[in-house]
Amino acid sequence: MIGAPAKCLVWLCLLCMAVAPRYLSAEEAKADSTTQSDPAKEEAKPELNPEQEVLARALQSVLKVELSFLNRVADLTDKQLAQAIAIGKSQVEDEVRRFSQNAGRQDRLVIRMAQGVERRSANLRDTLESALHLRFQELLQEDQQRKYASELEMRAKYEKQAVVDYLVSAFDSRLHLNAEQRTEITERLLQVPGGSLPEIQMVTQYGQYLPKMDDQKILPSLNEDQRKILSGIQRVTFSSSNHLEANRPFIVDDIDLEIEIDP
Amino acid sequence: MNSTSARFSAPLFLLALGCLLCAGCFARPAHGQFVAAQNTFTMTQQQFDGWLTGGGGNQTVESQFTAQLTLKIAEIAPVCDLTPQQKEQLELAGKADLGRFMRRVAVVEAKLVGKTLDINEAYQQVAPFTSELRKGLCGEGSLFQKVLNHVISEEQLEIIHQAREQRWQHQYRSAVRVQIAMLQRMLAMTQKQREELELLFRPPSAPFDVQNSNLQILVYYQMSKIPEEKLEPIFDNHQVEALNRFRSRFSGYGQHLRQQGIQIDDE
Repeated sequence: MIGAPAKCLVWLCLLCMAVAPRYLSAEEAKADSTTQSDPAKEEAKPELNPEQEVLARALQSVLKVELSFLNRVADLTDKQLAQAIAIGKSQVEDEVRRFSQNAGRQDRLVIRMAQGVERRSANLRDTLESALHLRFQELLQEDQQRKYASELEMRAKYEKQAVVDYLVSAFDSRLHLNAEQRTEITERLLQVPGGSLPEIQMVTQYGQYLPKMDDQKILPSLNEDQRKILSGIQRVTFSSSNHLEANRPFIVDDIDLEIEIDP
Repeated sequence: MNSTSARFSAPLFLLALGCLLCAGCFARPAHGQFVAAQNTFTMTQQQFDGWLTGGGGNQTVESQFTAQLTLKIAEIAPVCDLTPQQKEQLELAGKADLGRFMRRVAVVEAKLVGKTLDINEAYQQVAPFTSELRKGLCGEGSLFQKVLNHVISEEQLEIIHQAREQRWQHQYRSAVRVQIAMLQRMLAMTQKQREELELLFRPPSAPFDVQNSNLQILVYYQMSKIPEEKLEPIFDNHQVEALNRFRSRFSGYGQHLRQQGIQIDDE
């Protein structure tokens, strides 16, 4: 016979599992996104409520950019483009529904300063992009897939290099690194998983402040004077929780989704 | 109410009221707290020091300057093989520059600390000192620089300038790449387009220690000035249109940059 305390513990564990919010990493989001809806089963899904509609319309700008990129890189046929648009719109709605299940956590761009190193949770834009990339691949011929995958990889690499270069530059301006130090620190930071580096839209906040990060990427390259100076500089982490793009009015407008985009 | 309770309640009420009034009179506002609905506040020493150091956390002016001086000497020492005596001369010259700066700061400090002020007027009096401290007190015209010019040779000075030039180039290029990476989220660029766009940016002759906020503004401004005929071979029409919508916002930033002492080349 199980004692009362043990019974309580079991119920408590079950309760925690039921209500604990789930933070998805980009990889988990990708894995989740593989169980996709079949466009043929669209009718079975509930319609979006008004709040979800607003969110979906905001995400159309992300979809437009991804479709534009896909078309530019893979040179789609008209049929492929139409299919990609349908898939994209369906995926946006899926992500909105999934996001709504964890409603309240993120609904606008938030900039906050945190006094600790944190791995940022994948935001809605990241999860949507990852999901779109996977699904679009399925539409493509082999040659198109190769080009698309290659360009996606170069795009991610460029963004990461830009973030790392900017961070090194921020440290350089305060510590006066020499060329060798810049190279060493850059190489170490490029090994850091992308999710642990600041997001591209936040990295320019690091000017007056230096980012809080694993100092083992930096300290081994510094001399005594530089280490002493570094220890006296305030370190912060700017993070954002966002799925709304401030630059929506400036996105490339070459794909007609037959939906009006919010200005 | 009976006469006994009435006898006690009135004095108690008056006592409570008196306590409230006294609390209001003797309340000391926290640093920088507004004391009136208008844009005024009482400047505390802590607030003044924070503004002066640019909110630099736990750094005082002296510690911020010491860090700058240490870096400057550390940058020079391996190149010039400074003797301890030369190092000491440079340190003394640096400290003299700090002393002159602090004497000027003290004049403003006396006018502001402990006074009730308009916040904007107060900030305008402190901001130039913050900017000067951030740029460094040991630059051109400083005693440190004069002593340095005596201590090291022309060739050694050239090596130091080259190292600073490399730092500037790295800072500039990293700012350009970040902007292009962010533009990617609007223009859906290919790798070839990103690389060709990068080539259109040229670093102007600029102070070696450019503040990051001005560096970003500089890049935006340069982007706004790229002739459209240079963009057309790289991007398709829709991309050029989107880019034009984006960069048109920054064409007026030239004056701000010039006011910050940044030399820009308008084509």
